[in-house]
Amino acid sequence: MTGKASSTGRRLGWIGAALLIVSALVAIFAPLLASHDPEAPSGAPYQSPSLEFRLGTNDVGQDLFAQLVYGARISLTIGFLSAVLATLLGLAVAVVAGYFRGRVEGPLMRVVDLTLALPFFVLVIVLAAFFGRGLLITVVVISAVLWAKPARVLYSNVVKVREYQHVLAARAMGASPQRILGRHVVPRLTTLGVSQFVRTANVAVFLEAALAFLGLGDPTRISWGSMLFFANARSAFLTDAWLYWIVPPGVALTIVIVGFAFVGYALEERTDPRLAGRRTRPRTRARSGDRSETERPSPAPQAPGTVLEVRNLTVRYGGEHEVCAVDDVSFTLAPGRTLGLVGESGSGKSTLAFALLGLLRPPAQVLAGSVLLAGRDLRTLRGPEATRIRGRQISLVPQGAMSALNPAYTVHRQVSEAAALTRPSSDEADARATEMLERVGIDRARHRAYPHELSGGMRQRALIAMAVVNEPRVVVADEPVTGLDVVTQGRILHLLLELREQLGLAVILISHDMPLVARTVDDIVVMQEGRIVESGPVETVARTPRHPHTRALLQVGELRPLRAPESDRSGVRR
Amino acid sequence: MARRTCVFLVASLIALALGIAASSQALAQEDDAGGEGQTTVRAALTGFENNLTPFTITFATGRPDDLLMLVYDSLFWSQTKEDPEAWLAESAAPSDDYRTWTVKLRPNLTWHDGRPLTAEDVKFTFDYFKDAPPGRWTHHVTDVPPYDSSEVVDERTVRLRFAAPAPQFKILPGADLPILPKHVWEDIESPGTATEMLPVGSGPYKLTRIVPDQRYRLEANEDYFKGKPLVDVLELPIVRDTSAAFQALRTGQLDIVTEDVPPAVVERLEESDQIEVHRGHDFASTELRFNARKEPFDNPRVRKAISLAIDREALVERVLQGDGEPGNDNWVHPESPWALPDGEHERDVERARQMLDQAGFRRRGEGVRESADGEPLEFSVLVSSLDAEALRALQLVERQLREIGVDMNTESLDPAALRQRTTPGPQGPPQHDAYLGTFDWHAHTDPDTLYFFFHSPGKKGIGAIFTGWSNQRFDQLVERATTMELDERKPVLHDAQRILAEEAPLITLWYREDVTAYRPAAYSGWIDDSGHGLFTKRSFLEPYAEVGTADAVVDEATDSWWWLVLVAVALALLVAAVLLIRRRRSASEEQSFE
Amino acid sequence: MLTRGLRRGLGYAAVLFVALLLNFALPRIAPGDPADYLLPPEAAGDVTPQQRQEALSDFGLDASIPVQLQQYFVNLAQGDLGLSVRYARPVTEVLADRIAWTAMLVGGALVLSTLFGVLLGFASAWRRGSAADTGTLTSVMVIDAMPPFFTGLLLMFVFSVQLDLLPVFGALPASGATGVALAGDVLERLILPLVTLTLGYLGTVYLVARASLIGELEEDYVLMARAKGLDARGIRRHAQRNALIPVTTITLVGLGTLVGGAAVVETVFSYPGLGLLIYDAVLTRDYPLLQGAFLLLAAGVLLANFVADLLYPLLDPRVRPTGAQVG
Repeated sequence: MTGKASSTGRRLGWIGAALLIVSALVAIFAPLLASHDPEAPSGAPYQSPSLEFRLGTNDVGQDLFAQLVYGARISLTIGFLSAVLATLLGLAVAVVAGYFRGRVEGPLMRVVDLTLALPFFVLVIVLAAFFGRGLLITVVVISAVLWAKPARVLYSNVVKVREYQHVLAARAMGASPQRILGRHVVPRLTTLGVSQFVRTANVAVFLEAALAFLGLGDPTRISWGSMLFFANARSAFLTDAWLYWIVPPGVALTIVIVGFAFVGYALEERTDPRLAGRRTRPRTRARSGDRSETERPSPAPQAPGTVLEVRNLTVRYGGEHEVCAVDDVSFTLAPGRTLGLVGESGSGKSTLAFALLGLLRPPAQVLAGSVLLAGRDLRTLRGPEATRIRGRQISLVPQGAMSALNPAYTVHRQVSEAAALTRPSSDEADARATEMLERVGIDRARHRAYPHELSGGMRQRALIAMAVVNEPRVVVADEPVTGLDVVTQGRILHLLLELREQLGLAVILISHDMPLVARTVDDIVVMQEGRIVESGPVETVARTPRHPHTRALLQVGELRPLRAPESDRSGVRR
Repeated sequence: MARRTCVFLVASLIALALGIAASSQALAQEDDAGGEGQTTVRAALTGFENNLTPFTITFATGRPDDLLMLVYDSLFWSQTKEDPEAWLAESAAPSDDYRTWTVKLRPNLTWHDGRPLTAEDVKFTFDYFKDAPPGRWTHHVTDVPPYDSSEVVDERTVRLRFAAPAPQFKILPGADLPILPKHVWEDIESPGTATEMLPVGSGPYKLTRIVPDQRYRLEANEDYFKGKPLVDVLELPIVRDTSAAFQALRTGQLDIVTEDVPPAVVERLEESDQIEVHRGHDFASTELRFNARKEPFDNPRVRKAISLAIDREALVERVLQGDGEPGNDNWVHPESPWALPDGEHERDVERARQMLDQAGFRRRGEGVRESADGEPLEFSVLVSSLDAEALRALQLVERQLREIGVDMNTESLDPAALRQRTTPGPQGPPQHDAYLGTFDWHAHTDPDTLYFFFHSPGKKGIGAIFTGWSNQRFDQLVERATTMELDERKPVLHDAQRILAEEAPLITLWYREDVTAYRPAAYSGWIDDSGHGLFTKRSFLEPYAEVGTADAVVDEATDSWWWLVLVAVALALLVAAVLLIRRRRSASEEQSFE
Repeated sequence: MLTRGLRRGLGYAAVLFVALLLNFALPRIAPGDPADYLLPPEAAGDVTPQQRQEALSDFGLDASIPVQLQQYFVNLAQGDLGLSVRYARPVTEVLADRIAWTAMLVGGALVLSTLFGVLLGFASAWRRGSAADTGTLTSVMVIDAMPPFFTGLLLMFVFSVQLDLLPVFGALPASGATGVALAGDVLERLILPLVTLTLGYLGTVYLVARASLIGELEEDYVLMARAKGLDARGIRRHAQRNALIPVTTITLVGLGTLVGGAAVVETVFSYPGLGLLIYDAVLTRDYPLLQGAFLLLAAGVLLANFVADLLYPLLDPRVRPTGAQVG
């Protein structure tokens, strides 16, 4: 998948730029391209295309090709000028409102909102009819309607930028507003400003054409819109002339607008790379020469007495900076045991966790090795089979409890939905969800709560309930207590261990907090830069660490006795 | 969720369809389906004329008068003739000084509502128009001839008195003024807003249904004194877009379009053996009107020179594709009874150059002429930005004037702004250089038209509002003509036209030809009533129209209900297909490991 | 809670007030006035100022500007929008004649473009980066770039002129069909304008739907949904639920844009909608009608925003005003 990440947007961007450049060149070199004066009645009316008149002639015998070529000038000029004016106006409003704030911010942004809410096309019709024709007036009218959108978008960015450290610092040091704006704020708006400019130009070109078509533009000036106005007014489309009188200016307009739209999209993708469209599913395995294909002999049977065996697992991040995140990792996990997977940030713990569940997203990909669960190699599973393993055989308690829950659904629904996977009726699933939630210590009254209505600890409990609701063999808990206060950390870990005992789970506890893990688990695996540097029973590794990295990790904290806090027991059934 | 969205959207679609059905049901309730054996003609109008009364029509269509006069009648008909035919009137006799006219009505005239039409109504009509706000008809009652009062002699006879001799009474207002029912209008204080009623007239058709901006339905007046009209029902849909109207005519959705056929389309329509294209003359002119109050156009030489330089043949050829006559210097339409018989225009670029030289505008090389003070001879012409034909003409005129060193440019405006810029308002006389305008047929057949439009401003009468031009000798001639007998009047009007031609306060570019297309299968009785075109009342009346109606037109629209079903089914299928595909894809897209 | 509702209400009122003022002021700033329209050209030049005033008095436009403004608000309070100059009928009636057609056209286009925009956008987002996505994205953007009047002319040329399948004008047939047949006729005449307008708005909805779902698919809760064993449909349900929130906003806020955009389409197809009415009213300087139409539009836009405000909590529980967080 290397280098493919943003190809769609980039390609569209280049196509768009090419279209615009060609149009601009046509406009600039119109006199060279056209062999007739576009306003002169050079031939007989309504001629079909010929060598002399490449697109034929119109109702008064003017050369339609010459008109098309010269028409590019008006459309592009108006589009460009209006967009410049509207964007600058928007920028000014955004900076004044966003940076100086104070009394101006509120009213100014209300005006922006009001302008945005107005049906802009109607407004343009009214303004154009009332204030007359002419290039400059059209430009002013169009910008008067279009400035609000750039203002709104740029404003929110100014608000963000003004809180940046160096801006705050510059202010504190007493730099003049002009200096701060010129040096720090405005330069940061460039990309966004350009993208807004392109968007505005897109609409402006369309508006000019629409006004001209409605007879509200300046029909004495040759533009694509006015060509269409005359074609329509002179009933061209009832004659054969429509093909060379209506279609070419329409297509030309479409080309320019599409050009702006493509460039705009490409710019937007740059500011929001997610739009680039990474594939959900990597298709690497179909490729010839893929090592994962060639290096996968049918694996040896799983080691006896283990529920999970990881054998020589290697995960690589593709892309521009290729990294081996997990390098030839092997370990086993026995039923009912707890394995601690410890390492500092970036050591490949989380990648390993995702690999175990088959949740790696591109550009990450498994290169070699196998994951054996209950005698089956998970890497050979496809489609529905793979889905059936997750949640039922192996499940995940993720880190970051807020974002891991769907804000739109109640926690009960989210647990029940998982429960329904192994239960025939939704009633049973609901009952099971209620049971599990109570068991992890969430009061019945809170079951119908939405995630944002719960505290961090509660959310983490809900996630645990979700992970164990189908009684999987293995639970992978990825930093389940990070970000919680120390007391809550203890309670959550305690809950996890309790459930392990009750349900006979095997748990892989992933954390950077070696002392914490050491207090909790049976076995420990220490990772550094994707490799296992040390592993063994917790007593051995924690007491007599051999690897310097293990020692370093252990020094972070000191051993604390593990004790279940009394106050949090009430919710957990025995 | 997505599925629920789909269900929701499909439900909205169904609701929409039901809404359409219901609303059209509501619209239809008053329409009785045309009975068996009725003849119907479907004629497109280009605009909505409110409820077709003389005070509320909007002049949005090409020939509002003829439309209106399907519902109303005048005492005589029609004003395009020197001696109009007695219509509601049986006879009309003037006093010796032409200040009193005694009008005798036909016997047994009735209004559409069955009430008798009597001399009272005629008196009422004249009195009512005299007090009405200024409008299309009022100046023929208040100004020339100046109506004073009237008395009802008996049920059928009324005596009308004028403050000045009115020899032209039969033509104007006789053949122009729609006679109104007193019992309907006597209580109406502001006639301009009387839009809530269906009009009551005495004409050959009754207006039975108005769907604002969409259509009218007119039904034959069975008791019409000239006999029952030949077509039972006139369906008049409003089709604003000319192209659309002619397309509908081509495909048989319409039987006639009341608008002129656009030049480019004539050939296309003539190819069809189902469509007839009729050519007649329209009393309409398109002119370049100078602002003669202002330099340089206060100088007749400059105006005349520009007139000489304009190639009107070329304009007719290019802009109208030959469907018209080049404009004459004397302005009045050549077919008008009042036109100067030998009025024409000659293009003489050389003379134009000389005249400009004489007027003091010198030219160096090929550049723009300059006055002695170094002022370039340039001016701008205002034009409606919606009038494609006028815009085209000006493009050509611009180039023609360049030949004589005059720099003309075109400024397009929206119609309301154009009107404001060119009419004298509270701020005084207008400040434009020139503008492009048109006069409709009524102007060219009126014996007093020269008085109305070209008499100096400031006098009694409407005055030369269009140009601000004033010429004493011309004023005397036209003033004198207003009270002269018709045949004596002609030579005087001819003299006036000669002055007009020489002074050129306006330049007539062309007289448009009347080109009307219709489907003879629906109705073939159309007659060309000079200046009225085909769609006028005499086309539907037995003594005038050829009885050539085809078989009753079957309402083609009735079998198209299946569209409703078809579209609904198509939509349902589409949604179902999308759902199915998505379901299938979901199934195949289960995520795998790796 | 109450204060928030109150503030929002006050906000709406303020916006409405400004819109009303604009309504009043805009037409009057323009050159030309209704008197020119009311008095025919052959009379307009020679009318006395009194006659001018009289012509305007029927419409209450003869008074001084402050008096007119006062009268405008007084009448508005009584639900009286005045008398249209062009139609010489109450503005409310004129608007009522048009509103059904516009509702049908704009409402239909809104529903259809949302339906297809969301379906396509979601499908595209789901397979983002694939050839199908790129193809759809490109073609939707190209369709979106075509000016609606051009699309309209093309459709009319193909379906009416060449194939003679669909009628070319208006909303009602030339002759008076009834019942189901009339409904069929009406629908038949709706198709081309509806398709044109739908195509014109489809792109906006599509792009928002696509971007929004792509964003949601990157969220952690989607990963969690996979981790707990949900199949593709289940995952899709999770993401789409949230992706619909911005789509709803766009759809509702788009109402104003659509009514305006409909003006062009209505011109091409001679369709008697609100957009065309406004266009005509502008040209004839029909102040009362313009004021009424703008008021209707402003009210529509505000209503759409209000509905969006109401729908938001339904779609997004996070903004639902319930009790405080409980730990």
